Amino acid sequence: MSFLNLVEGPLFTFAAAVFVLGALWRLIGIIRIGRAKDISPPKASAAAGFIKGNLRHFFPRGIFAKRTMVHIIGGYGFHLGLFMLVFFGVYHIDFLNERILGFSWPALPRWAFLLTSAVAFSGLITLWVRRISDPVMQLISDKDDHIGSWLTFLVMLSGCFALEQAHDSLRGVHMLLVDIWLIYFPFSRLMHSFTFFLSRGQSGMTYGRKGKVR
Amino acid sequence: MHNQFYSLRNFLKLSVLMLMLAAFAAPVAAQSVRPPGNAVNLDDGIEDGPSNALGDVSDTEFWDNFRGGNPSELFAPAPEGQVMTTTGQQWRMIREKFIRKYLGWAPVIVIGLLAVFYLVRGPMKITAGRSGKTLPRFTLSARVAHWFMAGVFIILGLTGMIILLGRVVIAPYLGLEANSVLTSAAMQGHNLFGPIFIFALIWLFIKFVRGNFFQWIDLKWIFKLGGFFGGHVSSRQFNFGEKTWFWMVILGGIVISVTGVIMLFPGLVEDVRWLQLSTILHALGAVALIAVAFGHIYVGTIGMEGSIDSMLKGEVDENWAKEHHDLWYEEVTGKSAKEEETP
Amino acid sequence: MTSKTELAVDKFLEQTDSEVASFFEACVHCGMCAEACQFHLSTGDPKYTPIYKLRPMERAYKREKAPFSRLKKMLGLAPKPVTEKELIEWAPLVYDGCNMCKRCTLVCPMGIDIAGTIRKMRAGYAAAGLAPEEL
Repeated sequence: MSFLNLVEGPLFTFAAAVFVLGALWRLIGIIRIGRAKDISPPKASAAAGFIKGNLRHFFPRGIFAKRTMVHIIGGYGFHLGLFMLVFFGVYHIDFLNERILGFSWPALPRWAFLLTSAVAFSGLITLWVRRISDPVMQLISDKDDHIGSWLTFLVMLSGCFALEQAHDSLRGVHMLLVDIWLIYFPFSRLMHSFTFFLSRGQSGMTYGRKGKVR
Repeated sequence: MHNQFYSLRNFLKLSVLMLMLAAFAAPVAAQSVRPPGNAVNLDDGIEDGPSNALGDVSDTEFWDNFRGGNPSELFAPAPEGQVMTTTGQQWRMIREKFIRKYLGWAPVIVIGLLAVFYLVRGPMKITAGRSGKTLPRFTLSARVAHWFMAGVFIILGLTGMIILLGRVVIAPYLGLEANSVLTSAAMQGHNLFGPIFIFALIWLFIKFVRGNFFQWIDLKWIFKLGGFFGGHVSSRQFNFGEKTWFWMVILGGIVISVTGVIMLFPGLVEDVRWLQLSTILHALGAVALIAVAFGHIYVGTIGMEGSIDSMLKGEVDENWAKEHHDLWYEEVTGKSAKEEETP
Repeated sequence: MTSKTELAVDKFLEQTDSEVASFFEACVHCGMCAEACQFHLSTGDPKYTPIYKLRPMERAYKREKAPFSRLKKMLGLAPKPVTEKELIEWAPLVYDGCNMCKRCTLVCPMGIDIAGTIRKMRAGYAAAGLAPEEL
């Protein structure tokens, strides 16, 4: 079995299984802890607060916008960019279509893919260099933050390196890093891509019940 | 965009072919600039080289009809109606005999000189020791702009070096296949990160241009050789060395950016000589910046105590400021830098 | 006899319901909360970063209660246990370093209710007798 067949075949299946099961286990584990019963009479709906809290935190608030501009632009640039790359890159759609889903959808044209990559890379690099040059982020960052950033960066970079599609080895390196990333994901802070809705939602519930989600 | 990347490559292939044709077709006229055999890939491991493209008969007159330009004139324009010029040959000679052969040594030499300097002079300490009190030097946004540029610069520097020197540095040791893989990867990475460099350059310029204009006081710095060989030099927020590096990055960066865009989108220019000039200027500018960047890294890290703080914490020790940027210290604090220097 | 640390940690864990757990699980250490915190803005001191004030409670949760914590403990990857020294060091941050204004929740991209969690953390301090005597 060639290296590419290994990392795209059995190893990928294993990594994907770890990713799905691990992420589910962790999400269920958090929810299962449960909340103490709130005996105060509700002023408004907690469920509406859950949704409102989730939506409201997508939008930065004016009073902080200037001070957190780098985070907002870098963060949105990276996350939206990565989302577009993962789900609308033509090779990704082909891979998902052939290996997992069995259907496909329109892909980004190549120029848009490259532009999106540039935005996503810029965002990720900005966020990480801020992490190493801001005393606040230096203080609160741990190994997991750096490993997560670098692993994601390397996955993206190896994907960019493989763009010519001329060498199986480059595609293989990209897939190997993807496998490592998938396995690392459920045990790390990369899980924030799923836990964010719990966090926003639960504080939305608490304050929604008090009628105070703004 | 995909196809345009390839057209550059086709252009390179065509240039090689042109050179070979020219070499065979005009043996007398081209004698003075005729490359040696190894420059035309005859003994680099490729078995069936493009020499067969010539056919069995070398038809001098046939090819002469396509080829124009005066080979003794540097970068002569192609005469009307001619598709081949002598400039491709000259371009290739510059690339093979000068750029690929010598340019890669520039960073190595700089590293060597720095190592010697470090061993002889050692790191520059804060002579008065750290005071424990700090002054803000670079804002967070300036630091982020700096490190963003640094990150993009490293990626582009490494991939660019592989593209330029892979054939002479990697291929002989790791083999042609490995070089091909690395070059393919580097090419894609370089093309993707290139436009990000332009963004980084603009960002860096906006954040650092203030205080970086040359002043009369910089002359003193030059006469004292920057204090690297002893003596005290006065300077404001940025000294002559820092200013020079800033403008090198900005001006060199503009050259690299413009030539890079031309190479990414070859359709932008009509005359092939712009592309040839671009590859040369791109390599010269990039290697110069990479070489000097090692000096910048040296002074910013192990070469000078207390420098790195300005880019990691944004604050520098007061004694560091007094010793290296006394006039800036006085401007910022309103105190004299001399008074407390000798207790 | 149970030590003060154990009392505090037990209370921390008891107070960590699925809401607080999801806060600790979602935080990406972006540091935006510092940009909203009055204490940080007026002193410039990174230790007033709101999420940093919760560090001992977060560590207790990640070591003892979080999903995969047992696995990570077995592999030696769990965070170090909370110490009494650390709790005493954090007391000024938990009590004097937060006025419950909740600006950090407004700026937080994850909507983490840091002030509300500080209140729960203070319960742990009170249970261990580590709260400031004046209170």
